[in-house]
Amino acid sequence: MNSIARDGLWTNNPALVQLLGLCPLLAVSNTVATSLGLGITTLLVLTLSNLVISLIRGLLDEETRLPVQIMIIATFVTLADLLLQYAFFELHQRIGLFVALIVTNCTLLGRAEAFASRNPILASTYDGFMMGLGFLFVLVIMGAVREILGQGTLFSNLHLLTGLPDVTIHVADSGFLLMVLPPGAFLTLGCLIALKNVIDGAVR
Amino acid sequence: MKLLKPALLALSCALLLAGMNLQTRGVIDENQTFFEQKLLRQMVSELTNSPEIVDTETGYKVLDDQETVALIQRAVTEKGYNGDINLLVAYTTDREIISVRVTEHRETPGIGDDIDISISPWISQFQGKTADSEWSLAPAGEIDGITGATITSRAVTVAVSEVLTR
Repeated sequence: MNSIARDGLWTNNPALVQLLGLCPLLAVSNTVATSLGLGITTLLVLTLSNLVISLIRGLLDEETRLPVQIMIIATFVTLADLLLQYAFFELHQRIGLFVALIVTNCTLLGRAEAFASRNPILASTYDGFMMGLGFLFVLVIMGAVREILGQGTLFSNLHLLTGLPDVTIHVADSGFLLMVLPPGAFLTLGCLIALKNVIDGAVR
Repeated sequence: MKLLKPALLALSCALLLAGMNLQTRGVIDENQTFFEQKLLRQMVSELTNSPEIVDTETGYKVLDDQETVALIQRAVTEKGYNGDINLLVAYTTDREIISVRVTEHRETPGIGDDIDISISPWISQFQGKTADSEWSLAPAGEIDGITGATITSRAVTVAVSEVLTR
């Protein structure tokens, strides 16, 4: 159990080590609010899809396994999409496009095929949760860095997610445009990967 | 018979989604109308506090006490920097602009997105303008462009002015 958690959060982190799911990672990490929204959605979908795929792992053979896995992931993504529109309509207006793209997030099919289709239910669910958490925390850090440097704010629009009053912190009047644009996402991710390697090196 | 199990799984997925769709559809539609109405009410809030907003072919009619006080028209321009810019333009029956809002755009973040009211108050300068105003960018006209986003500002300015003259 411990090694599953360590794998998902650090040693085999989907965003920093496996470099999976880059499309949503780079596209929505503009602000903390959008990062948190998409990160939590991905976490839930990944946990549930791992659970169900592990549950039915005995039923499927080689030829049909992958399409069925994708179908299950797509089902959960669509469910999440409907629920977002149901409960967080304004947030959905901002990240809606990328919610559908969770289906193509390779982390999901990757975990389904590499872990859930060959491990018991409890371990698979836990693996999905930890991988999702690893993805979520990298996404939120990127969102925070890019929002502070790019816009000079932190937690803007977070009230769309929490329903609480606006808690935007204004750090500066303006920011570096580059950090809001796609190159800023690549730069931030590169720095985070480098940081992880430095920490790993120091520990070793 | 190899496909029987996958087919059954597909059927259960479909049923699950259909059920969820039935459960959530009503509220989702309500949400959509609510946020549309909220935006429209905001646009004419200086004119009336309790508007009744009726759909028309090209936008909305704003009624106060059964009487038409303003019109809100949809406009779209393809002359932006990156794809279509969709606008809502509210004006009084005397054809004086009340407010303008961008509902959809893909202008450059940090430069052209100043046309969005949540980012910059730029677009509120159209308030009070009429068909007789000088509809071009300063110094020739009355509209202050956005620095670094002349194409975007010009596209919006022209699109708004065309609503008044159509």
